[in-house]
Amino acid sequence: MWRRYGDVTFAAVFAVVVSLEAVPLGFLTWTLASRLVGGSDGARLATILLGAVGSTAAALVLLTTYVLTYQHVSTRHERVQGERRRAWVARWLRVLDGSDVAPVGTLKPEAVDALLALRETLRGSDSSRVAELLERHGAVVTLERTAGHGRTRRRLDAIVALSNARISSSFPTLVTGVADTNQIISVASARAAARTLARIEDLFDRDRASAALARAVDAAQLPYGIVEEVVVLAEDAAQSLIHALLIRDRPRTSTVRAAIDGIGRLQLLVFAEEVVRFLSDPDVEVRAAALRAVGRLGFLPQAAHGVVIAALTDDVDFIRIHAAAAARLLPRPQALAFLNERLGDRSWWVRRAAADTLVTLGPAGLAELGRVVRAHPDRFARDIAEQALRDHVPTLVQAVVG
Amino acid sequence: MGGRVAAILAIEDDWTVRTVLEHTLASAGHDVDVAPGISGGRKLLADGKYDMILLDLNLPDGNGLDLLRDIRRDLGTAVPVLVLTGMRQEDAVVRGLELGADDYVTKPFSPPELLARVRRCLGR
Amino acid sequence: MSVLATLLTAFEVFAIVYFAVLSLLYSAFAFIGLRTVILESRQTSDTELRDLLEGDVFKPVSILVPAFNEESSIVASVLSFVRLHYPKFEVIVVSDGSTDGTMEQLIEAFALVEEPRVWARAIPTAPVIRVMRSLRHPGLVVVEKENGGKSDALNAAINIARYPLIAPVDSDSLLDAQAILRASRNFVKDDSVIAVGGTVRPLNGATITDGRPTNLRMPRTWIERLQVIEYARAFFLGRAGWTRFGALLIVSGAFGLFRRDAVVRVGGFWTGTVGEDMELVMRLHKEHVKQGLPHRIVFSPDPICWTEVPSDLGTLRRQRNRWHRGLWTNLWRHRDMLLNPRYGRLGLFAVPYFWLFEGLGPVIEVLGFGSLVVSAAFGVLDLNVFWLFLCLAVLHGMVLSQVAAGVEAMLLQRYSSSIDRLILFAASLAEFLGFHQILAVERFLASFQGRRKRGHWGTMRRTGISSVESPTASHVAVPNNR
Repeated sequence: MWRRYGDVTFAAVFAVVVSLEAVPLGFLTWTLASRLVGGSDGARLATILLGAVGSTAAALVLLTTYVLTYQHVSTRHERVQGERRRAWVARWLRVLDGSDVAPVGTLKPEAVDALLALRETLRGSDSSRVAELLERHGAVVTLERTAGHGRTRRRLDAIVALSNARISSSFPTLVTGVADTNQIISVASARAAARTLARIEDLFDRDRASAALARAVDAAQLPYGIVEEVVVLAEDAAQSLIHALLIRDRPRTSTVRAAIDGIGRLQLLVFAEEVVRFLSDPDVEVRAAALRAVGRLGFLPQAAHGVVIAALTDDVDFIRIHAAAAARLLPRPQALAFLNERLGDRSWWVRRAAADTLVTLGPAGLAELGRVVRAHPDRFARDIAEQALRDHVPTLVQAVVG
Repeated sequence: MGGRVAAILAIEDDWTVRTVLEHTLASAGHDVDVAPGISGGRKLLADGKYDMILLDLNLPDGNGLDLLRDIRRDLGTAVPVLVLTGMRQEDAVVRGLELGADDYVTKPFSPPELLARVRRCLGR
Repeated sequence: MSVLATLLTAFEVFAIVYFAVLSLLYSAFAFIGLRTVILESRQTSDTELRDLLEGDVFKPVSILVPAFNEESSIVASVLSFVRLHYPKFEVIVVSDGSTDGTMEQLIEAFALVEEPRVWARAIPTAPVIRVMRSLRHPGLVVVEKENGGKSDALNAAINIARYPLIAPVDSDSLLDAQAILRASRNFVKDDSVIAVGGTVRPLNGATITDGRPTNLRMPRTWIERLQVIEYARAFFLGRAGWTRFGALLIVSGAFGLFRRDAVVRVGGFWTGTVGEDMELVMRLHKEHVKQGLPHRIVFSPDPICWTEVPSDLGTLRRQRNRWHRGLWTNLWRHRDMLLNPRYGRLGLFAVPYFWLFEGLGPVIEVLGFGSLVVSAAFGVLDLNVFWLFLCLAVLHGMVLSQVAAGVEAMLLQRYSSSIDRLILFAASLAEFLGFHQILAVERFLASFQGRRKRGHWGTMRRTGISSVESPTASHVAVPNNR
């Protein structure tokens, strides 16, 4: 959305401009105030105004010059940058297939950018070699240093670059960043660490790294949504990370919720038993997450049926909603009966969830809904059943027509 | 290397991927044209004749699947199409294959693998 | 006589000091805003967005489109919404008792069929006549209801919406999936965020290809050109500054993202104002403070929405008149927030600022000018001082407009042709040579028209942005209401 160069300079120019205005305006206010108190001094006022006009005019000229110059320069700058980057990408590709030699010494920024872009684009041995090149030329070390301290802006740029690079050796730096008091840095570091974690091949290293990241994420009290993203960004390492998040000593609710949601989203059946255990957690949000995950995993052992059935009549609305969705995993006759009951729930959203779940139960569920529409004593139940059936029609039409 | 030399059109918005495609295919001896989006792709398709098309399904200026449908409608099954998708986009891949794509490659990709798939598509 | 002279002088002195304070405040805000934009621009990289989209981590959104008598444009608008490349969303169009062919156009274009529908009526509205669903686009719902005003239409849409995030838009807003995704990230990053406002930019002059603006060119009329600068200033400098203080009072009606449950909790939009977007935000703040609920309302410069702005002076004046009346209605309704420490920075800083500078600004400006004329008539005016002050005020306005032009040059999508740059430059100078003054008079008049014309759509067909912070007093134009 933004061209990221020249903007800081622009802010500096603006700062100068503000001062050029502020000083005379301050004088003006002072003079006027003293004028009210003492006698009038038209000439002095005029002089000050003249000064103010002069300095504001100077400010305007300064600004305009910068803006017009920027416009002109930036077009050329971008074109040149683009060409340079493309040339570097081509060169690195030739280095990778052996038809060219790697440059020596520190790399220019465009060269580093090109490598980072390639790291994103390539997979397999070529990608590993790109990582090697980044490390060999010291680019990673420089980025780590920049990420560690300095202006937020610069640190962010470095963290994002490391996020793209996904070099295992920078993992510790990123984990340290998660503990930063600046929330922006903390969140960016967590994401970058997750992306880096995704590329750690060695299982033992990966587990250790997951443990470190889990510790940091929990301690930093990152919001639930961010932890969820971190889990998704960990890709293949998500399982290891979720395991680390869940075995923590008294983890925070948001962490547990995110881990459970991750399990459901990524269909990690290996955690199915854990999830079932969380169905009875004291925290209501965790129970809701567990119900959601159970529904997504499609796994509900006999012993847990009772918990889900109890949840269907829980006091909390959103528990009942998620329980209605999970009820599809109950034995068919039970599912139909309990969902039928929920069609008369006091909350519209629960009724909706129950009806939607019945739709997913195939012909038996549709038949049940049909029965409800025809003969249920509760008007709201009849209405919602009909609604669900109608909403189901477009999917049918789409499936047939394509 | 083996395999015949082909005129290949790559429709891809990401400039890095474009450069990699160009380089990889050109160094295998093929003639490569690239377009950064759907409209550019349509123009090149109208003007030229290609032995193979590489199509990214995540283009910003339109739906890659629509273009695929049009390609199959206009060019039949004579021209092999290889679609490029991101990770975790199985439904896009499935749709693409249903609409007539010959093969697919997920991004990030491995250039040797890409070349192998291109060769195979051309060989058919 | 000398009493009059003293009074006049006193008022003029007051006006000048007012101007000086306002100018400094505004510049300080603009500076903070600029730095906020600079920082925010580095926070969400494209790679991360792509990863999240691919990983299915996004929040589903209900887009709410209120419409009234828009037969000529409604189909194109709705089509652009329905075609968004957003993974999971629904579009709810509400025809608020349209008397023209709006419904017919929609029925025809989208193969709408009526269906008896049930939904939770969380917010009371005027009666709904029928609810229609589209056979072609499963995510499209069209509601026809009895006329009740824009707020009422939005409330009806909220009732039917089923996703946790709602995005009330104007029917001529041009949205972009990226914009929604970027805006919705704010809810993810912080659980306490209940509303997010994005940037709005004028669409006039741009070519639209496949629902997105390509080839950005400056529009033809000067009225439109001046608004380009205005909007850049209002959003990137104005709102970006306020959000840094945690005292944002407005989320644009052209594009905002709200948590549905938060909006329902406070009772939806209020039908008693023409500035319903600002009023909702004020009420959200107020109610959440009263109930002791943590909440944040933020402006994110990142997500960008495009909208059509008035191209003739008449429509523009009516629009600004409406905005200013809305502003006063809202400020008056929530006058208990004024200087009330209970509401923190909003009560102690934002609301007073809006009263003193946004609301009263045009009044003081026009009266100030009037008093100068009177002074001249009575021969007590120091002409030197008068001209110098006028110069100063105009120059100061130009400076801020130039900053806005600079900001605009840093956007990825910007006016790039040389001619357009020159036009932009000229526009930034021209704004204070008449344009701003005309609008100031309009807002001055609007300050005394508050009682009339409440809760209607207004005579302008294309309502577009419903409330923009109006350019403030003393030649410092900052549209805030958009």
